[in-house]
Amino acid sequence: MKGLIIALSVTLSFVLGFFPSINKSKPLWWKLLTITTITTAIVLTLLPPIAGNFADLKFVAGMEQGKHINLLVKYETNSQGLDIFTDDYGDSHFIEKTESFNLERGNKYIINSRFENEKYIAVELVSANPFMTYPFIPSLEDRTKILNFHVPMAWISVLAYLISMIYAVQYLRTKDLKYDTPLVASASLGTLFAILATVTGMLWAKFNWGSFWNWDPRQTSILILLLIYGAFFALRSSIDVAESKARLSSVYAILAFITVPFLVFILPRMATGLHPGSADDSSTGPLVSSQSGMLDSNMLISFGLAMFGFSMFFFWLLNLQIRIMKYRGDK
Amino acid sequence: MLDFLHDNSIFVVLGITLIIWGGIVSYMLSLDKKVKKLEELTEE
Repeated sequence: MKGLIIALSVTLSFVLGFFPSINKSKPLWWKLLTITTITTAIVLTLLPPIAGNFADLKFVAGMEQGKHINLLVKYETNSQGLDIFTDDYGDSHFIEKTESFNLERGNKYIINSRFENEKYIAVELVSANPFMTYPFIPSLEDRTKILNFHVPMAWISVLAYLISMIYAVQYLRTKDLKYDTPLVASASLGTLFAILATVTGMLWAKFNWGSFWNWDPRQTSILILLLIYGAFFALRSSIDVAESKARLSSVYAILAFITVPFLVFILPRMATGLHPGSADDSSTGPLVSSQSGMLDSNMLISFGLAMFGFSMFFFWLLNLQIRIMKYRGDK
Repeated sequence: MLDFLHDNSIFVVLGITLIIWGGIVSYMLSLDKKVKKLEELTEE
């Protein structure tokens, strides 16, 4: 399911991205679709609270005494007529100090609670019948939400380098200089998004791993990728003749793209490291677990929207960049 | 309203993010419009 939703959002954005053409003005509905999708993704990422279950709270209390987290629980009466709270995993307990909250049986609540002396104690009533929540991941907590912004940036850089490679092949096949413009526009946008993925990842790493740069396989591989594409622009700027520039950068763009799947998808998953999804990763639970292939269903909705929306936004940027470069060239 | 925002500060974060996103969108739309005008001028 996770793969299907992501593949669908990516394929749809790829098809729509080339509509009506990569270098022609996009229709209004296309732009509105992009704007609405990203706006919805932002709202659905920021607004829903993170809420865990009783096992999460017990685990967290074992690591840090007195820590309180949000619990998503249903308030009901058990077979003995006692008031209990049941989480999504069917685990039932009584949460103390909930008397003053004015709760109604049968409703779901988010109750900020702590676990002390084998008892669950309420700290604050956060909300009633929440329309959407995200799972609590002990090692990530609120930082879970970066997934919806950071991962699309990294994905778009791969998409941009792929498009750059496609136009490089087209140039070498036809020797038509019109393919050189999208080639370089796509590679430069890919580098911009790779830098954004690195910077957002660094900021997250500071608060998750303790420092901005850790030489984690994921960080090292994206740095190598940036250096490879940095050399691409150095190569381009060192050649004056348009034909030689286009021919050499086409060959380089094809060779550079061969490294992309290894540096982005294979190497960081084979090596052991700190980044979620690395070979020895066991802490990300149901959110991005590579072992089970699962992604929380609520997270899947907002993540799918973010992947689609940001990919469309990239195509809009690429379209503008190509049209501006074409205009300059025509002059 | 102010009390609500004070108690639910995530709405303040959402507001700021949407204002920035709105700014980027308006810049993109105006750039798109300008490029279109330039393209029409060159076609003529």
